[in-house]
Amino acid sequence: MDFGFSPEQEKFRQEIHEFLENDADAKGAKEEWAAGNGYGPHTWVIMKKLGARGWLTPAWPKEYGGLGLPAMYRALAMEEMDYFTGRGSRGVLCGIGMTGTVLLGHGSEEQKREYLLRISRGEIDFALGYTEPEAGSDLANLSIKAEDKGDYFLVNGQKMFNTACHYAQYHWLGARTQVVEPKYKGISLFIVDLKTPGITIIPIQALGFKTNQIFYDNVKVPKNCLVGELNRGFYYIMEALDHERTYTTSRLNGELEKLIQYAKTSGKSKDPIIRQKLAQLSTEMEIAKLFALRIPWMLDRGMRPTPEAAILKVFYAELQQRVINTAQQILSPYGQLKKDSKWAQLDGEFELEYTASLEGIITRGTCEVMRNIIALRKLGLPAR
Amino acid sequence: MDFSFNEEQEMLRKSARQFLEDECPKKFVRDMEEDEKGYSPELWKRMAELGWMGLLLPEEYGGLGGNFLDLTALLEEMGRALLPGPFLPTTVYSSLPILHYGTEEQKREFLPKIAEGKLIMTLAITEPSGRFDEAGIETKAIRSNNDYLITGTKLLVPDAHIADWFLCAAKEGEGITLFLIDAKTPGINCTLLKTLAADKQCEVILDNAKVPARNILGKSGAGWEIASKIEQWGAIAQCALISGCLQQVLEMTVDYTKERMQFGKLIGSFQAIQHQCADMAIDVDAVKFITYEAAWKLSQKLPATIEVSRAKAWTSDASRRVCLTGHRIHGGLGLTEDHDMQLYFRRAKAMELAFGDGDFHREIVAKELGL
Amino acid sequence: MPINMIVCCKQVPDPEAPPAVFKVAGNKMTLPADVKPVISPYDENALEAALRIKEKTGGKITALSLGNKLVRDVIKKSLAVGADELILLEDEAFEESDSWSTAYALATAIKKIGQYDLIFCGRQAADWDAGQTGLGIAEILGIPAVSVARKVEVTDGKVRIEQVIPDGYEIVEVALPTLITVTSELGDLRYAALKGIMAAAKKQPTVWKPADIGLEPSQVGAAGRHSKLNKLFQPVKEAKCEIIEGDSPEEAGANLAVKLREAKLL
Repeated sequence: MDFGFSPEQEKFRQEIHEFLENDADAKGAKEEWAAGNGYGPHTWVIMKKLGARGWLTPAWPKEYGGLGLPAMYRALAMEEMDYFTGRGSRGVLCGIGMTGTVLLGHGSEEQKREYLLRISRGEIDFALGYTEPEAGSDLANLSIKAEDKGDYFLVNGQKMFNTACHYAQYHWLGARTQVVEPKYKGISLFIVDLKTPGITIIPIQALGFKTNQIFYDNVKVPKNCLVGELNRGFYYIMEALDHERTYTTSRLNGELEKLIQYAKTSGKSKDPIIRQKLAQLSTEMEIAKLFALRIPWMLDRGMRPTPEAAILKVFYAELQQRVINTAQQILSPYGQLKKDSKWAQLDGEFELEYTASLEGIITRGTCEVMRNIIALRKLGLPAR
Repeated sequence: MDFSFNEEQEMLRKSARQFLEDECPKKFVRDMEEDEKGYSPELWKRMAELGWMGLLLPEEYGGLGGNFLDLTALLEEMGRALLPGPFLPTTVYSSLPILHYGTEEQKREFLPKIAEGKLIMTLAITEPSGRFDEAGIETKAIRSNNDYLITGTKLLVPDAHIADWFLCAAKEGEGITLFLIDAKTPGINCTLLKTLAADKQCEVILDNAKVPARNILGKSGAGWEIASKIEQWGAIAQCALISGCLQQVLEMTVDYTKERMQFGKLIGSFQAIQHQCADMAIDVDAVKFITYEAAWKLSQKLPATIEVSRAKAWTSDASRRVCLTGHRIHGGLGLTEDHDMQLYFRRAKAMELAFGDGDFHREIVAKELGL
Repeated sequence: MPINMIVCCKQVPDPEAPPAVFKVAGNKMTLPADVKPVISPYDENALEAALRIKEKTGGKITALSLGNKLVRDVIKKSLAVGADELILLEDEAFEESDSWSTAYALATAIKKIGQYDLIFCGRQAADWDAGQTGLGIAEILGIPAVSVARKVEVTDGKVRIEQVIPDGYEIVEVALPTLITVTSELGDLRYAALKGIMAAAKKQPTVWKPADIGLEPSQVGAAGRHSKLNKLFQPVKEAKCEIIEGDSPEEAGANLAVKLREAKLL
């Protein structure tokens, strides 16, 4: 057992840390990100700078723009980026975490050359295209249809809450290619250029962030945009979700640090109840950090962390709720003041977080679905 | 980062599990609740032969030079088996402080005997104040030539009724001094207390018990530094016990959901049950990691105050949640005395309370955070 | 006189696991990951037999195991309880062995080890329960073999063995070298003491590939099998209940006897 990092790992982390602290574009990117609107011009610049150093995809092979390092390095890079980005950090990005993961395992050589290098250099990103009005937790129920027309696939239907659509270049689309029981056996994955005629993106303002619905009306998708084998999409999705549920705790920890600082300077830390609550959160944060680091540790040993990723997701998302609510209690009446209000405390951060954090318990599989996974896959309880 | 035990620790764990499954079945655990001694000298001897008492001691004192992580692997198995007896009082609470703070003469006197299983010791700190801090000590030590006369009441002293020696904290002037006291010293009176877990905790009354000055452990008046170190070691040892105990509760409960039918279905197929089991599994994983991290820090001789207190705060609370959920899922059956569930439920409470519960340790964490 | 002993220890899935978790598909058995490997229990008895002789007479114990990806903290238990050396025939070529190819590889390795007075095996391995490997080794080495031993003692260059037979045991005396298969009546393997465990963790086993014992991959494992598995299946057990009636208990009894005779059970 070892709960420390090697000198090489610490050096790697420090380099990223210093870059983000000092780079001229980093601050602008942080503001864009915090506004909840996704990538703006500064973000694209900073992504390219990070990409040029291989820091977006340290665990990918060198030939695809990675550094050929163990997954633990990716976790360290993500920790630094999330800590820096703070609020608005969305954890794993679709291009790196989902598209990249699936293409590395199942993509054609042509697809790998076409997309992986550009993803790793920070030039492009993907919008996750899974959720539909009738396919949330029950993802296998998705119905957007992709018909094989010989030369191309013809796609018709609707997606919901596809967050990155307004700034990403590509859609990472899960579509039905066969009507079959069980339903998950008829789903395929596609890469779709979001500028393709027939695609309409309609923005949705959600609590604390911007997202979209997206309509496909007779959209022609070239044959070479099918990823892997036809009707194997759901397996790839599940495989990549274990990666997407990789969280780092650094952003939330940053918020807790601010809260602890606030308690000290405001004198509230003398209150025994507040002391108890903050000590408890700091303990839970440490557990979340260890749960988070278990994922790359397992990946580096060739293990697939499905229930472990579910444990992390539940623990992290529910801890986030506890942090935000404790902050609201400590801030007491000030907690409701928005960022730009007179008298707002801590830059109104916890007012924003109070609503924005709700996404955490829902997205990428609700905490309830995660508990199902833990029960069935880790504990082997009977499905019926 | 490495979350796994090494080969040696895995071998120790397997060997300990097999030994305890054979030698410490639940019938034995129940018998020991009724037994006045509360342990089996025969089993004690065999554990000593396996080298367990000397795990943390260096070879020169008959030990094996193991570290806190090795101990954690062993304690998890003891917690799983609910092994009764004076293992922790003798080793972690007594032999470890002697090793770290004793004179060479004291080490030679006590440690080899402990390693051989020929000496049982225990720690007498807690008093009627029920506190775990320095202010809770009222027992007095008064110097008289080359001896001290010690007077006071110690409570909830584990296994005092069978101990050969006590490590006892007493107030000397304004400071606290630790004394090694022969249990046969005149003026010492030991009474078994009736406890929830039917473990053997005692009241020890010292009435002018005469202790030679050479039996001071560490420096006169500087005993609380040692005592707080012991509390740290004791707390993490309890965490390891709890970890093994809860792992077994989880396994027992999950197994039960796979065989118990209600409404024509296995109860494990109901999501209400599944989600409760998932929450138990999350708690148990968290207990392990937070305990292992603190034990690792101690094994690396790194400062571990906040880690130990985080571990004890979390495991103490988790033990209640996991045992309670275990009981809920076992239903009425788990409430019968014939069922093992209630053994775990009662024992876990004793572990939770030993060396400070969640609230106590959260306050330490708060201090460490600079609050 | 110090005795050179070799004990063959096989790593098998824990036979204590509930039968329902063992699944058969496509003539292969699969196991869930939580069924942990152990040393086959009769092999542990064999190891205990060797340890008792070492205690009494002195000598050297070499544990020998064959397989692939052997779990170190399982197989090194032999070292932890007191074996002096551990040799692993470990390679993917050794996978899917049958009794013959196992015996052949082990015997070839034993020839390479060279010095041996006693070879111990379990009476049968807990995975397939074939019980042929031990005797196969003796046959290939051309040495005597005694099976199902419950007690083994060495005096004056001879081995005295209590061999279990259906209604008791008989005492057999053999000259060295010889091979003995051991049964559970001999007694459980001792527990590993902490000291032994710590020493074992520091020791590395010797690993031999087929080439190291002068064999081709085609002569071992699945390729070297002499037997062919035709069909692997879990027997379906059926129970039927029939009530035998009669006007009086005597008549019911008589009717039962008739039925049993018809079924050729009487």
